[in-house]
Amino acid sequence: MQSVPIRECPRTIARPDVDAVVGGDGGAKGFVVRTGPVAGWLSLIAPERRPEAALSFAGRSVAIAPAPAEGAMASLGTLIADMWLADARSLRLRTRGGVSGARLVQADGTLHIADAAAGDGEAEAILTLALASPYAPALLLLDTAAGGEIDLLPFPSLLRGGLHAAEALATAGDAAGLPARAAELAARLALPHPRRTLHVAPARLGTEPMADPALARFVADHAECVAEPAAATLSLAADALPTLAALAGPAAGVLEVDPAPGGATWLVRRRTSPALAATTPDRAPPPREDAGASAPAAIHRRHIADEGLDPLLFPLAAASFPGADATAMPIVAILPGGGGADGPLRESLAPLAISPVDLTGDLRPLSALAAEGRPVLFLDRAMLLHDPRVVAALAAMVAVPGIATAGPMILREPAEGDVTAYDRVRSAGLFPTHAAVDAPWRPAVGRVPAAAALLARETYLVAANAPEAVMVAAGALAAHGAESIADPAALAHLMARASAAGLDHAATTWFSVFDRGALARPPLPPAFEAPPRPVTLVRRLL
Amino acid sequence: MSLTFVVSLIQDVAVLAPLVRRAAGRDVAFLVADRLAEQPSAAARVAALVGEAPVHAFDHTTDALMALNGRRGLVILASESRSIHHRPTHALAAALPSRFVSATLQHGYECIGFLHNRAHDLGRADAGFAADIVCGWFAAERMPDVPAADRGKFMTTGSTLFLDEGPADWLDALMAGASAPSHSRTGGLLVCENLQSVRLAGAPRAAFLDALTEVARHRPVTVRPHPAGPFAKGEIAPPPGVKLDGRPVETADLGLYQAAISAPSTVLLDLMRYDVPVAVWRDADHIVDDSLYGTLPRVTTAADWLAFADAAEDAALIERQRAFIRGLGFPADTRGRFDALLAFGETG
Amino acid sequence: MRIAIVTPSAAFAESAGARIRYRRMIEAAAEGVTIELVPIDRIDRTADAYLFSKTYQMAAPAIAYGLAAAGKRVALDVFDDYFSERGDVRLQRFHRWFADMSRAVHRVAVSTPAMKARLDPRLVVPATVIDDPAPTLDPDGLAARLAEKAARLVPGQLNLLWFGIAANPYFAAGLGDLAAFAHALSGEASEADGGRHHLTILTNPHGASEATLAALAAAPVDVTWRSWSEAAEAAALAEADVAVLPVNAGAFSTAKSLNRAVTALAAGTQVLSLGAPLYRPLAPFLYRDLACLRLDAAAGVLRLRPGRVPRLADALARVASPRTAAARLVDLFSDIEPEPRPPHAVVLGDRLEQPALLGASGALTVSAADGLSADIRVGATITVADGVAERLAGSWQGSGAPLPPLSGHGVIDLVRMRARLATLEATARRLLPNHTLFVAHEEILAP
Repeated sequence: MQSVPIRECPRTIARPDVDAVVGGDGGAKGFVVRTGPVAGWLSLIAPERRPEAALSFAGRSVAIAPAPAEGAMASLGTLIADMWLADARSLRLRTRGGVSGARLVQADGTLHIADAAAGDGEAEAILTLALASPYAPALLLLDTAAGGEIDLLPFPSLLRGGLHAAEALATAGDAAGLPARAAELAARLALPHPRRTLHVAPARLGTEPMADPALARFVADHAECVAEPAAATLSLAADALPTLAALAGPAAGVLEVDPAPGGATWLVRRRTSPALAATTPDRAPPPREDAGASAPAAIHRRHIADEGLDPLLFPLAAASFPGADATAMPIVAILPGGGGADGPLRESLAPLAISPVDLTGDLRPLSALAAEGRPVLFLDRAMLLHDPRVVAALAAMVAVPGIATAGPMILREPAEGDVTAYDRVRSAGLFPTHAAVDAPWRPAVGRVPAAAALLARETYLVAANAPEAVMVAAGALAAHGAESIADPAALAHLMARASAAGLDHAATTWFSVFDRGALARPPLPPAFEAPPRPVTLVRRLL
Repeated sequence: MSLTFVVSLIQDVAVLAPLVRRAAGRDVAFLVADRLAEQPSAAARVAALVGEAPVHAFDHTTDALMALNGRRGLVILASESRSIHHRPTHALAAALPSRFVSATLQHGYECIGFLHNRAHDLGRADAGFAADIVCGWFAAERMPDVPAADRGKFMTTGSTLFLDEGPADWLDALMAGASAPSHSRTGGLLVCENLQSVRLAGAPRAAFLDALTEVARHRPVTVRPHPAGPFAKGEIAPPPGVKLDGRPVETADLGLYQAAISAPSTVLLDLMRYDVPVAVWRDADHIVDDSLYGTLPRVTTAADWLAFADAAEDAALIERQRAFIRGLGFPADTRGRFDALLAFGETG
Repeated sequence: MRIAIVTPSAAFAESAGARIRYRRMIEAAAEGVTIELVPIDRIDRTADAYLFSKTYQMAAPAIAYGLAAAGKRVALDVFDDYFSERGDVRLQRFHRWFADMSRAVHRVAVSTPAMKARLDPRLVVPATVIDDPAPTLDPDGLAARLAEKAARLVPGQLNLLWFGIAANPYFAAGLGDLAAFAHALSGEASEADGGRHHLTILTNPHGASEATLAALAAAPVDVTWRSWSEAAEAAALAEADVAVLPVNAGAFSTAKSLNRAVTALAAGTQVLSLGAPLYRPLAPFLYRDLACLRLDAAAGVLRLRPGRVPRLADALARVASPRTAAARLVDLFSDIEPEPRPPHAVVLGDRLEQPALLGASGALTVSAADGLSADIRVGATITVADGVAERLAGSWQGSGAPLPPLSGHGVIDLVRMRARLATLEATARRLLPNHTLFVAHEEILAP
């Protein structure tokens, strides 16, 4: 077997004790070599493709055995100011000065070595090293006046420009935290390690990230990819890729990355139930994830393009959907308050042959409306049901045991500052909210308009629904509808009590209603805190 | 080694000019945004910046990419962020292929993604860069508003305000503890206006104008109009006693003034570079956020303005503002820092 | 036979579709057959046969029907699949249009077998495949060019070329596919300098989205951008070693014809076919990965080489022959025996582009009293233009149906237009029971 010298380490340690025995010119005879990064690097390569590495000197050879990495990326922040992927096959380093050259080594059956030199080695420099793969672990050898450093870059894809960069942002925060996080993952992903079963939905276009053979090979090294979702512990959409954390341990939630310049990155943790999933037009089963995990499981890169208003008016293009007829016909009730005529609302209900009840002046408790055992769809009089199928869809959702309310996507009138059609979505359910990027978590419940784009054509559990358009199950109405119909906060209190009693609220972006009324609706009363129930979380990271 | 400068907004010209001078003799080219190239008022200044170097106008990112066919090296952007105002440069930086290394400069004292005032904080999601390197005025610890995702890119270069020999020597001397050189001042009071800024919207704007009008009744005032402001556009006539001087910073003879007043703005640093005594204007209700201007004197009412103008020739005042600058965290050798940046143009 | 190809506008004659598909058919037409392009707003009745092509105007079905009713032979040519994707409501108008066109015309022609397989279940008479014609081959010139290119090809630094339209408004296609398959374009890492190939992108420069441009910045190739034109394409193909043809597996992309591969091969450029195997009929000449291509180049046995030019000519004659295409077009029309048809009427929606086109169709038009002008106006009362009354069934005076008026508010009107059209359609059926009815409207009303 051919052996390829990777690095020559200088002898820089004076050893007078050795000199005393063997004589000699007094030049330095001792040396120090950190083999830890090499051992860690070997451990991350699949055993069947793993090269052998040895330290050889004076005719002797000491094998370096693979061992789980103890550290990683030690040069980042010290010798190297910044590291990133300039493109899918180029690693770029910005040095702090004092680095005269760099060598990168990857092995995947064959050995790949790339070199770059930095002029005089004194000044800060930019070095570019060719990669054989953006996923395979890399050994980084830096030349310095003091003899050089050996560093392990376990996962190049975690760097800026790599497919796992969003994971670095979500779990490590910034460049300072990256070496520790990379080291942690490297230790856990030392091969062989227990492999989870992973199911990726079949590719539809062939342009999905997992269609890249290099990525598929990397994932297959660390997880067992199965054909049946039922056999998997983690299931991913066709155009998602697993995070390194998912390969290393429990993980849940999806990092939704908009790769367009200025695009946002969100962390979305969907919650739904099999029964609720069965009411959707596509009957997509709930994804499999590890409950209670803190690290995200998948990365979904998708540019949310502006397709105009039509797909938001009619997300379901097909004429009908299953299960539309099987549910009890709901009562439609027009909420008191609000100015304007309800004529357009009544017009839009005409095709369903529904005559809505006007609740203006009604002082009875909400529960009185549950007398007939039918669900009630509460609508502000400015609403318009341009898609009449929304009524049957919401009724099917509240017919699921355990669901107290169901809400549609609500579209609003155009406003100054609207950039894309998605800005016309006012709500798609209500979520536990952050005030802003970087702000601390607050237990309030509010609108997250971006959710409609992130959760397009889905049905999911939410913290509450916007009271201006919400279907309430008869049971929830009877049990928790204590306030008077005339009280503007009555529905909010109903939803809060229902949550406290262990019921859920569901929202859907398969169907929408249009709000001709005020551009801004009042938020839920401050007393409404996020419920203790597991609900879909949407949090912006970037 | 090649350099490409991207000029997108008129403000970019002043920021880039010293760096363009520093890069003289190297292979330099310019990309200029169409919307800037088409403004007649900007044409002369852009032409002066560009000199004999090749220039390409671009509207869409692909126009710029076509102009960059066959070029490599360093691309310098004077203003770039996730904000909608910087959309063209942000998209361009994101689209640059790997034969380029890109760098975005901090273009003002208070600057999105570098050092935020209250208004920047409200638009926090706009902070963030597509470029590979982010060049700040001060040490990293003094720049808390660089977003987490971009902190690895950060490099302290100092400001191009202090890159030309004169200002660079002045700053080096100041950082070494020297006292202010003497100046002969023949001008009077200078007032810099940025009335069009959203920071002055509403009551503060009226308050500023009222104070200016009142002060001008008592002593002659020169107003430096903001290029996008109402004086420059002719929307407001200068009050009696007010002379307008809209010359660009390079030729405005700022050093001649005996005193200067401005709302929070980088122009205060342009003035302090000449040791002109400055005061920061803020409105009586503190709507205008002046928290980044530390110990500099403040003025609000016309009486404040007049009192400041009368007392301005005071060595202690000037030393205090020199101490303010000393404390900001400029690097020790701005010229060396920018040379290190320009050297990245030799990327392999 | 005089064949008129009905196009959506005069500008269509300059499009790639017209250039590749029709111009070559026209040049190869047999004696006695004339084929010409006619914009839909300048149709007359002087031709014998009409082939509708990309005329997505909602008035087109009525015009086609009118020609058929007048004894002309009428067919539809389909080479873009806007009709299979059911999940996007923006495509609803294309589905309606196709349903109406297939009712109106005698025959449907398609450009690929895949398109035929998708449309046949919806057609009474199965579709006829007419392949996109190839350009004329100059075998000696091509062999010389192939020899010259093979001599200058450097396997470690290939000149790659992608050419085409940057993006499609409804489907993933274009530069997005190139970005997704860019991983297949990396060089051998073991080469000096990382072994990077060079890629020229030839496209409409302002069609690329910022997201796609950012994605392409990560491609492991050096990119040169060029603005597309016919001349630039020819020059680029002459320069390039390899044409990169990435194809995603979606319905729209997999119904496309072989013409891009044919164009590249006929210009002497090797073809790298990535993704969906759209170009399988030309498999002996294609590469599926660059490693194979480099090996063949080093060994002097590139799949497209001078000795193989006769085989290429045979293959093109089989799958892309202009003479066959022209002959099939003629046969398509010869097979038609126009039969008498009932008269037709068109219900006009409130949003209809180019309603004046209907003047040429011979159809009776029906609209709302407060809507577009038409022969029959329906409202609380029904008013009828001169000479039309005798075509109406029974007693129609006084049988008006009030229609909700439009308010100017987009979504309110969406609901109202739905009701208006339903009433208009029902009224038209009642008044004109022996007419074939079309409904022409642009808006999306209800899935």
